[in-house]
Amino acid sequence: MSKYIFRRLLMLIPVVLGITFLIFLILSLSPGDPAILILGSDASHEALVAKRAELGLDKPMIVQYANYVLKVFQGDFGKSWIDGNNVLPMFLERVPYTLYLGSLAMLFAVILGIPLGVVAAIKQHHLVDYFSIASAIILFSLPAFWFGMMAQILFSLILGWLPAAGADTPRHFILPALTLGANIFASQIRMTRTSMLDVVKQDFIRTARAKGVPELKVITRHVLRNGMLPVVTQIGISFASCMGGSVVTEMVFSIPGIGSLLINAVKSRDIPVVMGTLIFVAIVVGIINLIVDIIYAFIDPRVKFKG
Amino acid sequence: MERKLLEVRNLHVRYNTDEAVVYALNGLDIDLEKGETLGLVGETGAGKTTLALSIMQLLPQKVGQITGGSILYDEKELLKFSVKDMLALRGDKISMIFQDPMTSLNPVMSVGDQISEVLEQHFPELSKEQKSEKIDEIMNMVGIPSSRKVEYPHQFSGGMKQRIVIAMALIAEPDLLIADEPTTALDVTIQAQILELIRQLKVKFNSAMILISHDLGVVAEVCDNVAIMYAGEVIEYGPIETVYLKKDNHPYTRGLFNSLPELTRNVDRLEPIMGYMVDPTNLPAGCSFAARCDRCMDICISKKPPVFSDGAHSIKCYLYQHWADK
Amino acid sequence: MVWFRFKKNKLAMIGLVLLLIMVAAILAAPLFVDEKAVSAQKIMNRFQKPGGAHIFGTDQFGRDLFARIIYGGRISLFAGLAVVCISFIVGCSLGGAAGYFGGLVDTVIMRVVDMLMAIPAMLLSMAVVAALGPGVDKLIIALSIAQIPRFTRVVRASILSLRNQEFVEAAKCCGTNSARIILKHILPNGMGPVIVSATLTLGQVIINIASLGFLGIGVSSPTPEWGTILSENKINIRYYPYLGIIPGICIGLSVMAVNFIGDGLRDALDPRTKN
Repeated sequence: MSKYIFRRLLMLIPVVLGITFLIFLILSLSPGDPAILILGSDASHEALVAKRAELGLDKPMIVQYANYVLKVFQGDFGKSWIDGNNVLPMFLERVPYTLYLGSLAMLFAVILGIPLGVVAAIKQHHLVDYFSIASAIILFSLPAFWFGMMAQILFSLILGWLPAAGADTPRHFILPALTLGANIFASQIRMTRTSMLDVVKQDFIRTARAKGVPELKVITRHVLRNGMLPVVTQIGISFASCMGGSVVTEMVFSIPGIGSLLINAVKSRDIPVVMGTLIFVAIVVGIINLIVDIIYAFIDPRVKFKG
Repeated sequence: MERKLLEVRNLHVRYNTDEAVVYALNGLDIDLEKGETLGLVGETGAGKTTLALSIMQLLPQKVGQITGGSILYDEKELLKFSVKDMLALRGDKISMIFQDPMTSLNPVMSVGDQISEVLEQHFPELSKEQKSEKIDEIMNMVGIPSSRKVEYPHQFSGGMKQRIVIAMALIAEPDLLIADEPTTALDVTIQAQILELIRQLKVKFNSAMILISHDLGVVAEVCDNVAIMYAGEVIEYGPIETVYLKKDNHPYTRGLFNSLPELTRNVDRLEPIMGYMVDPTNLPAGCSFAARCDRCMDICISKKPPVFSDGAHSIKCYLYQHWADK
Repeated sequence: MVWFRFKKNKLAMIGLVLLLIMVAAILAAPLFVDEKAVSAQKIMNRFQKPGGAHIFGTDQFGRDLFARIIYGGRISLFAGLAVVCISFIVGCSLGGAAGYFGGLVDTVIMRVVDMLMAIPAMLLSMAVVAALGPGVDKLIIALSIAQIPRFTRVVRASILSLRNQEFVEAAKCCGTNSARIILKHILPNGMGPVIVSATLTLGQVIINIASLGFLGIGVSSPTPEWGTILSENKINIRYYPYLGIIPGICIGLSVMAVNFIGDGLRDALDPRTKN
């Protein structure tokens, strides 16, 4: 299995190469001069030339790209174009907030979403079912930042139950985690429900009933374990979208994670920081998918690692 | 006369779907004695599986509905059984083998655990070792090395999966075994083996069996009696020897026989039964087979035929009205 | 047949009617709201409650919220439609080529797709905006690049499932050429899942546009867009809740309408998945 894990981690390298190449390509095709961006439009011609040379922008795109990649593999993600700080330390400082927020959101969504989906499937066409479907529809239709803003106003500003912004205590993370998890929660309910309803229709459930197995055991032993397979896959997909949603949530609640770093970098076109974020996210998503696949193989005996 | 193991009387079952009401069983009667093997023959949609599921009380919830009649098992009314009593009965006294072994096993549970589930449910007093011993024994009986009980269904072939399903059905030594087309989904070469296995084990445990099949040959090999079903009714019933004499038969049964190729007789063309199965959402007032029958009379269209009997042989057809006078 | 089944689905019909009303209102906006009202500031008129002369009320600069929302819909809804159309066309071509020709073409296209799928759509679009710079046209390009991989996958899967079906083999045996097979036999049969996925993607894209607008990426205040409207009123929502609720409802209703249509289409195209 370690061989399998190693192989999967190696497969992340081409992904990172491809993504960074794409950004370099778009950057070189798009108008605008980073040197002017950094120094301002009233900078002297000599200063601009010097800046371009410093950033390596005077060389062809492929050379720039190769230099960048070589440095990345040595752990050097370059310097921010805006404030000249090294990208990596800036990053490491902010990563824990994002990971903490993401994990909390996933935890909340999975712990509440799966049981609700199960109950909705068992009690099909009952109140719980309608409630779950309705909440899933609503949560799917509204952007997370809107929920975040409304929750912030209601629970922090009006009721004063929870802090409105910041990241000092675990309490600060309650509203952000609920905001970020809302959408995932909805998709967990929906996925669990459909998957369970799908499994209940299968022949082997009838076989189990024919053996005289009571309904509760039929569900826990036969339906759940089979029904969880697509849900596990969905968790992996959700974690990826969670990394995307985190950007907005961090902004709403002023959490100093990589999301808020990315927003400023995008607005000021601070490419080294943007690239660093993408590489980081690609690696996190890759590792999460790997973990999901390993869990999947434990649940489903039909899946074997191809070492 | 020996006590009946199973008596189904005037059973009516219907399926309520969004589009229409399907009348699946329409006044079905069957009897089964202890140790007897009854063949249930009919084309797709005749209600064979519905009957099996009705006895097991496993009709799809809310959709399948028993609207009348009675099912007496060991002289007790199954339709009045509580959920708990039915659970105790299922898998222990009455068990079932399903049609498609590919889908009737849980893919994420080892086959040993799936067999063991029956024991856990019905023999909780057995120790772990005793259970394990019993599983080994039954697996050897169905011809699978007991060392393979830790494996999962996808590691077995179709025929072997069916052997496991049989082991599961028989480990509790049931009084009644319902086999719903147990060989239809299998290769022809394996069909005979599986059939022979079921027959042997049934004799060994002295179980009665209902063998559902659309294959008249299979039924002839294994069964004592045969019931021919059409549109949710038994239209002919009798001992194998009598029915297969092909002297007095329901026109539908005759049609079935004529559509079979025979080695002993030289026929240029097989005769199919003309027309299609009657629409179960819209049953005629008279005999359900009337529209396809080549010997249909006026009375057949207006009135449902009652049962006419000649000894153990009974037929629901006005052609045998004279039997009533005997 | 599809239309007949779709018509029977109440939610889907509600969604369709709702979406048509919104689209019609946005298109016809110049007829009943002067475009100048979008940016006309009247400080005297600030924070007017909904009703009267301003049916949705006014914001902190006294701008008419209704005008801003209805002109903002041009970006929120129509940019979303544009994104789906672009990624639909590009995705169909790439996925079609990958699925039909297979071999090296397939491998190259799918490797790139896998690579792009490793990054959440939202982040990928943000990175592309960073490289391209701000602007609605660039926002559309960025969001399309993020959605193309998904379409390519769906189209390819759909074509692969059809390529070896007997009616395609039969057409090949009759000497039909590739283009005709794709156009006449594969596309009509394989379009179902692709159209469903396009509809459901539209909902997601509308949310993404609003989110990016809220963050000020791609489009930013004072350009009216449902996300930027929310962002510029952020601090006032507590005291004037209508400033938050009305744009929220607009986003919510349009996404919900689109999702209902998508679900309805899925059920209508494939009756087996009905549940």
